[in-house]
Amino acid sequence: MNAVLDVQNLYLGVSQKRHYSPILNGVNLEIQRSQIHGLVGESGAGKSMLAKAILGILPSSTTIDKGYIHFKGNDLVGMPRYERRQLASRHIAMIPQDPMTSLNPVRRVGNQLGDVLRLHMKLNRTLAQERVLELLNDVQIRDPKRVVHQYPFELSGGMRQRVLIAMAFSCKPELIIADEPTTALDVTVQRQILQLIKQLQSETGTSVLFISHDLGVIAKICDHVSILHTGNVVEMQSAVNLFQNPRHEYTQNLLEITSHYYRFENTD
Amino acid sequence: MMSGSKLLEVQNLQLALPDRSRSRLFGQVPETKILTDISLVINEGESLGIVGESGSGKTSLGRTILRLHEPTGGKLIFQGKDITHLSEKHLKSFRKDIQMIFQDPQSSLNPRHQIRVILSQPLSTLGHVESKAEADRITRVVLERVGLSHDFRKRYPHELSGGERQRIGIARAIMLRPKLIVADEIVSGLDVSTQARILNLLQGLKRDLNLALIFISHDLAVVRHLCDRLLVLRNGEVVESGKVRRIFRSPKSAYTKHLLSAVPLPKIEPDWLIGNPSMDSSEMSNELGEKRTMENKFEVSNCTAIVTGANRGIGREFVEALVGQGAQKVYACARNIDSLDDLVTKHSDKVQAIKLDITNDEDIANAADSCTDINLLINNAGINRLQAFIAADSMSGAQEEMQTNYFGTLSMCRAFAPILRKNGGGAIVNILSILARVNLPLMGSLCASKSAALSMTQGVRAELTKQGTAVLAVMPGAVDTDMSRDFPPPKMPPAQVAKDTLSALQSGEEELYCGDMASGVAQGLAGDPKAVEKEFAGYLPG
Repeated sequence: MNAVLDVQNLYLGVSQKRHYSPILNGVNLEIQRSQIHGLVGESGAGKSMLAKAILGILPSSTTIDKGYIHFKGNDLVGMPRYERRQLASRHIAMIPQDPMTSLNPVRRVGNQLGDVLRLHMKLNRTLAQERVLELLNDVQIRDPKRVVHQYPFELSGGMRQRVLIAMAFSCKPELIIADEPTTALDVTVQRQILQLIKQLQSETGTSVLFISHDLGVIAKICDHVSILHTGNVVEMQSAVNLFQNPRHEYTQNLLEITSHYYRFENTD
Repeated sequence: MMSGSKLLEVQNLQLALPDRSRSRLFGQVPETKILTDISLVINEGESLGIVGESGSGKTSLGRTILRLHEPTGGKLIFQGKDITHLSEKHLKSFRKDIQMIFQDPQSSLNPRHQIRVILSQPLSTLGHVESKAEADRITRVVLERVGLSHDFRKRYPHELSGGERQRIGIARAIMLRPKLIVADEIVSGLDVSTQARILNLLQGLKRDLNLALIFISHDLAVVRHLCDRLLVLRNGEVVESGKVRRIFRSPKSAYTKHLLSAVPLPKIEPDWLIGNPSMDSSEMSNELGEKRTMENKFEVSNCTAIVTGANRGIGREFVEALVGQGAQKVYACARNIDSLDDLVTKHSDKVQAIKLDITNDEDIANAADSCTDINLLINNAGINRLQAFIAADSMSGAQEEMQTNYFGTLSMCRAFAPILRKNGGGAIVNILSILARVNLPLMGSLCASKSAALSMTQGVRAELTKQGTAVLAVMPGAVDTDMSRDFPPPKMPPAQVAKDTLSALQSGEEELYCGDMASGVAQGLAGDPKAVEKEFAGYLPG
C-alpha cells in the first residue's frame, strides 16, 4: 500500500447539552506518498475537524463514531493514547493558519524550535542549536543567528510562518497538515510561502494535506484535490482534471464563483 | 456610486518615526521615513481602498489620518478645516466624526468590560449622552443594526466569536454616527464566509448612513468588491491611484501589475511557483530595523528601456539584446539621430530613436519628458581622449571626459530616478570600464572620470535601493569597438558585454567585471594591487 494516510468512512459529530450534530458523514480520503493533497471546503464544512481528527486533538465534546484513520498501516482511531502520541506526534506535523497564536509569545524563536528537536529527534542542546540555524536557513530566513534570539512579536507575519514551516519540517515527518497556512498573509508573501512549502516538500518527499478555501491557491500547489461539502468528500480528483472538468455540481459552482471573484486582467 | 462634497483632504502628508533599533548618529535618534508625500481626497459617502504589501505604510496612513500618529509634514483638512496641528482638546469634536475599526477585535476590546460598557463609552466621552437610559437605548439600536441580539450587552469580549467581536468593533465605530470610518484590515483574521457577512454589513451601513470609508486591506479581491477608488502604496509612497475598475482592468504601474499577478487564479499554471517575482525581496527589507539592503533583481523580458550611445558599439548591442530578450520597447539615444536610422528600420515596432547628448541638460529634460514609461536606464555613452596628464592640451580633454563620463551619467541618473520610482523601482546600469579600478599611463584622466563614475554609481545605489531600484556597475575590459581601434588584442565582442550585463541584472548583482581581463584585474586587485598595475601597464595602445 502506497498511501501514507487512508481515512475510511469516517463519521464524527459534536454533542452539546445532549444535542448531537453530525460534522463528518462517512469521509474517505487517501493521501499517497510525496503528494500534496488539497482539501477544499467552505468554513463549517468540517475541514479543520478532519485535520484535528487525524492529529488526535479533537475537542472533548467531539467523538469519532465510526470509521478508520490508517496512518503507516496503523489505525489511529482505536489506538491507546500513549501509543498514538508516540506515532502521530513524531510523524505528523502541522502548519497552522495563524502564526502568531501558534508560537509561544514569551519564548525566543530558537528555543521553541530547539525544544521540538530535543524531544523528537533526541538531540542534545548544542546539536539542537546548530540544527535550528540550519532549519532557519532552509526556510530562507536571512540572518538566522539574529532571529533565534528574537521573540515572535519581533517578526513579520511572513517570517513567523517561515519559522512554523521550519518547525513542521524539522523532524522529517511523513505527513504535514497545512491548515490554511497563507490565509493571514498578503498576496506577495503568500506566493513566497507557497513556493517555500513546495520546494521543501519536493526536497524531502513528505506528503502534505493542504487545507484551504481558496481554489486559486489549491490550483497552484496541489497534485490531488478533495472537495469537502456538508461533511462528505463529494469529489476526489487530480488537480489537472478537477480544474479542467469538475464532475460534481458543487465543485462546478465553486469554480465558477471563484473565477468570477477574481475576474480581472492580470496578465499584462 | 455616491460622491458628495469633499470630506477629507490629505495634502503631501509625511510621517517619520524614530527608529530605535538603528544606532544613534551624532546623538540623535535616527528617523525612518514611513510616509512620503501622500495626497488624497475622499468625498462624502465614498469608499477608498488602500492596498499594499505589509510594511508599505497603509496602516500608518490610516492612523495618521486619525491623528494617532503626529504627521511630520503636510496637511489634513477635514470638512474645510485644517486639523493637522489641532490640540487634543479641539480635536475632540472631530473624533466623533472620524472613527476607526481596528484589525484585531480581540486586543482592541477591553476584556474586563461588558459589551454594554464598551459600546456606551464613546457616548459619554464624546457624545454628551449622560443619561444611562438614553445610552442603553442607543446601544440596543446599534446592536440590532450590526445584526446582534440585545443579550450581547451583558457579555464579555472573550465569550464572542471572531465575527461577533468584529461586529462589536463596527458597532462601537458607528455609535456616534461618524462621517468617516477608517477600517484597517478588519476581515483579514476571519474565515471567508464570515468575511463576506462582515463586508456586506459594512456596505449596508455605508449606504444607509452615507458613510465615507477608508478601507485598508491587502486582499485585492475584497477591495475590488467594496471600494470605488483605490490607492496603491509602496514603501510609503503612492504608486498608483484611480477608479478601482480602471486599475484592475489596466494597471499602469509595474508594481500594481506585480501585486495583481501574485493573486493566484483558480487555474493550473505549473510555472507559477517556479517564476521568480521580481519584487519579492521587499517583504524582508520593509521591516523596521531590518537592514535595508535589498538585493533588487530585474526582469528583462517585457521591460521598457532607454539606452544612451546606442548608435554603435556596446550601446547598439544592448538594443539588439533587449529586443531579442523580449523588451517591450527600447528608446535608442544618440547625439546624431540619423545614425540610429538602420536600428529603427530593423525593429520598427520596438525601437524609437531619441536625440540625446548627455552633456546637454535640455536634451536630457526632453528625453525624460518623452520616456515616462521606462523601467531600465542603460548609461552607456562615454568618451575617451588618450593623452598624458602633462600633455599641452590635456586640460580640455580631461574636462570633456569628466563632462561626459561623470556628469553626463550623473545627470541621466538624476533625471530618470523619479521615473523609475514611479514605475515600480526598475534598474539603472552604468557601463564604466575596468579603468575605474586600475590606472594606465596616457589614460589618467579617463581613469579618473571612470573611477568617479564608479563611486557615484555606488552612491546612487545606496540612495535608490530603498525605492526598489537595482543599480548595476559594469566594468568591462577592452572591448572590440571603433573607440578601441588602437588597442591590442585580446578584446571582447561588445555583444558579450550586453549579454553578461542583462543576466547580471536578472540575478541581482551590484558589480559586474565583464570579460577575462576585467575579472582577472578584479581578482588581482583583491590580492596584490601593485602587481596588477605593473602587469596592466604593459597593455598599452599603439
